[in-house]
Amino acid sequence: MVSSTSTTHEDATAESRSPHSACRTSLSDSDALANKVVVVVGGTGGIGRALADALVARQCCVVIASRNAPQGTSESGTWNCEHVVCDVRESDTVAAAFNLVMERHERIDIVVNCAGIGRSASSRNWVEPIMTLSDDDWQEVSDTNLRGMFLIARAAAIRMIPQGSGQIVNISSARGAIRGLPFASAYCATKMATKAMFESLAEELARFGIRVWSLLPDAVATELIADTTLGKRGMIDAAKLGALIADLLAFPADAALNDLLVAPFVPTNAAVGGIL
Amino acid sequence: MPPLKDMAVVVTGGASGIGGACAKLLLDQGAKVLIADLRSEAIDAAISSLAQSAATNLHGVACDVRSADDCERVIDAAQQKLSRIDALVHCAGILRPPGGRPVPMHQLEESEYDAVIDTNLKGTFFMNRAVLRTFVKQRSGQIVNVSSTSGLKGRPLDSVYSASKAGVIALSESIAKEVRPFGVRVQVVIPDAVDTPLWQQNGILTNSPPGALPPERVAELILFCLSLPADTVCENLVIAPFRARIGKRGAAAKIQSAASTPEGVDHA
Repeated sequence: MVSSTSTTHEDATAESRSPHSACRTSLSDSDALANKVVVVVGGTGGIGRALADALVARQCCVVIASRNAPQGTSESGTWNCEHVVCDVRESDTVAAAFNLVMERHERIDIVVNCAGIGRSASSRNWVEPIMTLSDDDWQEVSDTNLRGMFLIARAAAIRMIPQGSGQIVNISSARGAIRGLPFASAYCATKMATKAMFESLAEELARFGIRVWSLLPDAVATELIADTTLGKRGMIDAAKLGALIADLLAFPADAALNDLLVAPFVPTNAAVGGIL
Repeated sequence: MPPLKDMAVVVTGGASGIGGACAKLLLDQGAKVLIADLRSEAIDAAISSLAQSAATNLHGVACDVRSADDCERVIDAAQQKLSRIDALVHCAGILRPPGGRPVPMHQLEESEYDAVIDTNLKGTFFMNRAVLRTFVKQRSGQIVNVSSTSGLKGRPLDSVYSASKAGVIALSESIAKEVRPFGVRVQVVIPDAVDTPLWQQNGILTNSPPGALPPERVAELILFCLSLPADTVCENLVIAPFRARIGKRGAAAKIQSAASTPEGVDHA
């Protein structure tokens, strides 16, 4: 797995710049991901962008599927990777995006859906009591997080079944999918629903060799929670989480890891009421 | 540098099964390993099969985890042989005592209950307590305990084993929060069926169930836990076998043909 050969100075420098080096677990050195065709849905920001970075560093063929083309540059060169237009709220664009990937690459090995919102665009803030949660606010969160996940999973399954292999991954949420969070009822409802959907699909698609799993990250330092207090007990760095997801995608195909929860580890006394 | 290189790790139950696979993978990654196991012959055999390339990085000590003194001695031995301790991987466990049989609980002897609870639950308590005294003092260290999916959902004829493994999960979660202020990370891995000698304790059914995970797979997850970034921790580390299950032929064919239909067409 790991060779202990020494690296040159140049190599070490390049490595320290790579987001992949932000997190190196024992699985980081397997080359199981090399040349895999990976569709990262919602790959222009947050966890998706970090994951795309990590996958490029591991020699994956990454296709970012998102509403808008990725902006900016990255030292690892992520933003040279392919982009297909895909709005997870629109069935047609999802199908067209997946058709385009199949035309170009003839297969899709991995699909990771990172597209998600915490609240509707018009909603004032994270604190959204149910009394003021409008029909449209609810619908917008539901369309993106839940219906979007359905459309992506269906599009992926249809193309992976003839291959007899693949991975479909749902970036759910520890806060949303383990226990409801006050003032985020729409968000939590959708995240818990996708976890349930994926438990169904895991059994449904296993017979075709397709691994279906959810990851439940706790507070991650992204725009999603930027103006909330969710990060007050520590946040996971998005680049580290991206590298960690890449490691999990590389896990040998004879094992299934479902609903793995990743949380910040911060030595704080709060958990024991300050008695220590 | 690989994150596990030079890490000083104590692996209980390290002579075979998941513990044995862990010891091997850790050595491959350049870690220093002390394996603790019940029988010294098993330790000697494991060491001689692993030691060719790693003689100075591998040590062994006999230990009955049902004895608090034995567990303290393992930690003393690790301090001596490895010169420090960075991690404990606690795999020691039994399904039932020698001569035991899978029977419903109303037929179980008290001695069988004691054997399983003392080894799996009290053993986890003794071993974790022993190493935590060091970890809390040095304000660093990590523990990975091994439970079982039987600890999440009880299995018939394995009542005491299931109870003991549920206890391992609860114990691990409690102490994880207790020692986090000291920078000590505690995680618990929850494997489904694994192809290890544990199944031989069923006596009448000596083989692992078909499709059981290779022990290396669980070991890889344990190494993943040990090598996580220092500011990250994982929970719900359930690992199960995955294989393309052959469903009913008709159902599979129907689904297969559905896959050739572009989405939306039969929904329009």
